[in-house]
Amino acid sequence: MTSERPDVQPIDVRGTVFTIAAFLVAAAYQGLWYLAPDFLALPLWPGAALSVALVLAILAFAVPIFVAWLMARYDHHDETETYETSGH
Amino acid sequence: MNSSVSPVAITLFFVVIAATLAITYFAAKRSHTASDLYAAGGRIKPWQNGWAIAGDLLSAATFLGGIGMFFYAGYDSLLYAFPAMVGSIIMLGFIAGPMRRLGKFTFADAAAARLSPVPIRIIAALSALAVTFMYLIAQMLGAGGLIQILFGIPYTIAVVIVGVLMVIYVAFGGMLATTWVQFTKAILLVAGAAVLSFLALAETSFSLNELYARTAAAHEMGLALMQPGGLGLTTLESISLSLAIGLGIPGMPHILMRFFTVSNPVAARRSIVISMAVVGVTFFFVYMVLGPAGALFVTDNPAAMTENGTVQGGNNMVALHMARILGGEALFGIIAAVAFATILAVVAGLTVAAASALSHDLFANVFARGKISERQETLVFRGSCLLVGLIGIGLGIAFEGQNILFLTGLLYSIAASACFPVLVMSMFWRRLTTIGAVTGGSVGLAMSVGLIVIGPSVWVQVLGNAEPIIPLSQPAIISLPAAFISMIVVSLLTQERRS
Repeated sequence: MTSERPDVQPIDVRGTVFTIAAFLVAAAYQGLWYLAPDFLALPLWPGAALSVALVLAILAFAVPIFVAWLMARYDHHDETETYETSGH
Repeated sequence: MNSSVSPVAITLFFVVIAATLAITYFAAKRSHTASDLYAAGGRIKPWQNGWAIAGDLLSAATFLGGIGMFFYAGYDSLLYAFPAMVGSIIMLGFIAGPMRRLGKFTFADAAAARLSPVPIRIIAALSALAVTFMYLIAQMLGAGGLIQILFGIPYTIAVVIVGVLMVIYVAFGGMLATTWVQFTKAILLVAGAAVLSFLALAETSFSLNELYARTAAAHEMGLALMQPGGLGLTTLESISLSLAIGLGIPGMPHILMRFFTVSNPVAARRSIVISMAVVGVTFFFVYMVLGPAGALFVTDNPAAMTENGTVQGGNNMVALHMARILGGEALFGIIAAVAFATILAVVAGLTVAAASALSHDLFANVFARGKISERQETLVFRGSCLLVGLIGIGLGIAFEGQNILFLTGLLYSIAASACFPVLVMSMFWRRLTTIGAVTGGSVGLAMSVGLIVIGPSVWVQVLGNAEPIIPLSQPAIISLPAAFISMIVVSLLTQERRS
């Protein structure tokens, strides 16, 4: 509660954009469950047991990994970095 | 499951115990200081920490519960998986780097950095204890059921065995032993899931389409098993569950502690990326292959089903039945051992988090006001481990019979409502006041726990009442905004106290 305490952390703007994008994509995916279940049930080809739902599920696991890689690929450790000065 | 005990399973069961105790022995020889016990001295490599974080996320609830839930709820079981990936992104974007920069032992250290530490530590510790004990219940249930099937010994004794082991791991080996056990278990789990998936796909000509078609033909839900709707959640409950998991993971104390085990913030962020890759691949195996395969090979199999059409040992044991059907006693023993190792590793991590909240946050920094020697703190930590073990055993026995993945959803609600708001607002919102943070954390904790108690999962299923007071099984959609709003309002009303 005094001025000697550290200030707030700097916001990582690039990371924030990616995070919001990932959140919105996930929300859209889940929204399809309730807004367009028939679309999810579409077979990938006539007579197939595999459906659009499977493809979207795989993307739901794979896309966040790619986004995480994008977010962290330029990270480098600055030896002078401190709690107050850092901004990744 | 057959009542006969598998010699392979028993042998591997003891191999797991011996190996983890050996790890603990070597870790104990390197764990002397408080920093060693709480954070492995910050000496863990990012790739090791990534696998360990993945191990924390891939609990028995994921492996046993995920495959078991797919058996009756199908595609809807993914509601417990994909929000975890979003939660990991949030950890990467907002939490990992700032947490590591604080360079302490618990998430309360980060939350208290800008504010008056004593009240913040109290609310943070209480939240951490609520989350970790709820998680312990889920893990104890999985462990009790597994050992009961393996040995035919009573559930209660099985829970006691796990409780004793987790206390030994953590009290002597601290975070180093916990990390090594978690790292080893994560590799075994991914390998086990891959082998089981390979064998399942081999039965269907390595064709996912054939696997899904045969599953639809065998299961009473047909192709609907591979479509949303199996859990029967309302839209509100579904959104609430996703919010709880997505924002609960960045508030899980035992995962947040892992950011202190690496040397710098970049290493903490790299750990997250590695953990996401491991978790994503495992989710694919569990939900896209093993879930449908379990429904195919276990349904109507007399070796796995009871006479009244239920799975022997409960739905959480579908993975083990499938292993025995596809790979005989050897694979059954291996998968059972992997599942057991999974439980032991996760309960060890939870014990570290709970014991740290008791010894570091409550005793050393609240009760003793920081005036405590390192030797005293390590002693208190070890005593706290014993206390956590006793409480964990008691809760594991009291909650016997609940679905473990469902319990996991509940604990995420508490983490999202009580831990996450305090942590993220204290790090990023300059106008937050101590009283605002305490109010928000208290509201989040009280509302999430309270709504769970008066909701269907406790009020009806545990306490035996006919109807819940609140017909909402996932409370995060109410408790999470309530925590943030109360925190903001009270902080704005108490700005004069900030300076």
